[in-house]
Amino acid sequence: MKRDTLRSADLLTGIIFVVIGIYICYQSMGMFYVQRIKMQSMAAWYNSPGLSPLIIGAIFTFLGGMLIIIAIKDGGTFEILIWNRIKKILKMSQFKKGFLVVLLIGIYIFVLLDRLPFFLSSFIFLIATMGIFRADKWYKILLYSAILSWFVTFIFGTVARIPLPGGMLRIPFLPGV
Amino acid sequence: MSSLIRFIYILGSFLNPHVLIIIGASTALGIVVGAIPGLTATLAIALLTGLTFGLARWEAFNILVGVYVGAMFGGSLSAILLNIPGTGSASATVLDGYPLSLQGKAYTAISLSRIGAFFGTLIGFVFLISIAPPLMKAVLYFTSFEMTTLAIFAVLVAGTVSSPDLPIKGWIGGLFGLLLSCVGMDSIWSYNRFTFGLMGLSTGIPLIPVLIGFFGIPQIIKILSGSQWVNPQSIETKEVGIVGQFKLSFKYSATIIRSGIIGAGVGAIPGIGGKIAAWLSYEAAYKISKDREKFGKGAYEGVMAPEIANNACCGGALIPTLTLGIPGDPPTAVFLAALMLHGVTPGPLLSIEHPDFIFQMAALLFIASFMVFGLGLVIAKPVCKIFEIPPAILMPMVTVMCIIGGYALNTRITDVFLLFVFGIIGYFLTEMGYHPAPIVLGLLLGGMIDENLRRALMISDGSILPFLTRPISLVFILVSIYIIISQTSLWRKIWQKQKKNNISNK
Repeated sequence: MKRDTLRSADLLTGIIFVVIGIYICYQSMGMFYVQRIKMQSMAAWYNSPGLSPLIIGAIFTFLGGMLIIIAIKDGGTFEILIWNRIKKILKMSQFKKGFLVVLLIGIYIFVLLDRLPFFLSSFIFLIATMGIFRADKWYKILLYSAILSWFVTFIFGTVARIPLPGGMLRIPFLPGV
Repeated sequence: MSSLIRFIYILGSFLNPHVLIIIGASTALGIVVGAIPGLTATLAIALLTGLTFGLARWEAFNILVGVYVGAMFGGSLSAILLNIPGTGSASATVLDGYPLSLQGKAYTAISLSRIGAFFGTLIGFVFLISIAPPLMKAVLYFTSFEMTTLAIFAVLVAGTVSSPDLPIKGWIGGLFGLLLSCVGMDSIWSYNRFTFGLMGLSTGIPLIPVLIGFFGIPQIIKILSGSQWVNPQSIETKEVGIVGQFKLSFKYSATIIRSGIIGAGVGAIPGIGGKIAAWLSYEAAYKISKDREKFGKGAYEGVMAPEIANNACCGGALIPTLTLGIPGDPPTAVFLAALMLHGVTPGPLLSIEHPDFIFQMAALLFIASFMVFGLGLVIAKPVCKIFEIPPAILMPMVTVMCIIGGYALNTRITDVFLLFVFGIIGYFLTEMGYHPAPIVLGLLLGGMIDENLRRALMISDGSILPFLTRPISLVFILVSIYIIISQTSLWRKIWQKQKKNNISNK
């Protein structure tokens, strides 16, 4: 990442860290209150569950503030939020590919894994990913995906008896499913 | 002497086919994983911790130690053949390893790296077996005050040293890890902190899925979204035989000893790791060498020095991990988690609950060093074939393995969800110059800091004076303050001014 873009990102993240730090401190103070009122006995500040989060939150807020100052001194601005700049980033090939990878893994985990048997969900994920990123010819992708998903399911699920995530749909005669 | 006899007895008990096959296979696996750019020893150990959870305790430890040692050497294969370090610890090996392979000397470079790995691991083993037992006795005098300040010092050092951009980002990373460790029931009151009413979070953020997410997902995204894949150099030509390899390496015996000491010493400092050890060793070799002009162009010392150091780091990093319960580097951080999952609590009580544990670990390290030596060149050629697999085939497979590793431990789909979420967070943090090491260390040590801090304050009735009056605690506090001050621009200005004055006085 270019230095000015990095510092602009640091400026934004510094603000986010300050907000998170203040939130943590607020929640921690609440823990002191709950302890004093609800727990009554041994209600000393130093054995409160809010002590460590309060200290961490305070230092987090401070360092977030320092990051904002360093970012501004080093040329960080809010230009990164300008729509043209965002459009430029969204059009970058690396961003598109990265987004695609995240989307594919997200679909695999949140949609496929819980609904389909592990073999099937992994097979679909492998085909989709290898196909979209043009790993090889389509029939080779099909073959690699089938062999790899079967192999992993068989070795880990059947031979090693490691529990695998998967939905309830059962396919007979397929090992590991 | 009795320690040596104990070690020999334990080593003898490990020298059976079952153990040797397991360590051999896991070392080979470690070499392969370490060789693939983007896959680290930390990720391999994290994955295998979940996958080996159902095995007997010592079978699991055999595998994890084998993979750890193998991966440290494996990183040098891609450094030499592809000009891309397989692991961070091999980043210095690239400088002279790849030029050697371009000169048609890839075989020699890998041989030197293998011998370096062998001697490095052995030196680390010597450090472990000689320093850890007496340190274990000293650590019994550590109280909650010392443990609190030591753990804070470890997170601070990890943040300062590992951050690729500003040190403040390393500290923020460490704090982020400490914050994550606060999620769940606290250890003293069982009060639910930051669970947002979700039952799944009351047991806290699970370590292994988060580690897999931080170390696996960002690399998968990076490699699939853009990196060039380079064809490996050939290792067909055998320039020297085994005797010639040893003769060549013994020419640099001073480098072997110096690099081993640097590596083991740096590894013993919590939170630093093999990458720094390798660079420090490379720099030392460069400064002392009579053939400085060869460095960067294919100097044999330039390959040996970092490899010896990063492998010596294995034994060095196990010293604070086993004696203090504070990991020496990211792989031992995961290893620490694996130990606790198998019912072994590293730290002051280890010598009482498992008195032979350190010698058993040392024996595994000793055997693994020979495995690396024996398997190093044998594995190198198949690894070359793996380098030819396009990342669009390899990385989806790695994703599937990450999912299995994240799920296997607790068999909860929420762990896989967390793996994904923290993987995305890890990717953005890495892109913005935050290293995962201090985050991981913070997550691991957060519970220890919280518990010991509150216990210490309960003992002192709320007074912080004992932190300052107890000598060891005071040392950690002063060193931590020095580390923080030394990173400020004011300090650097004063330091520069002092240097200029010294030069002008001379």
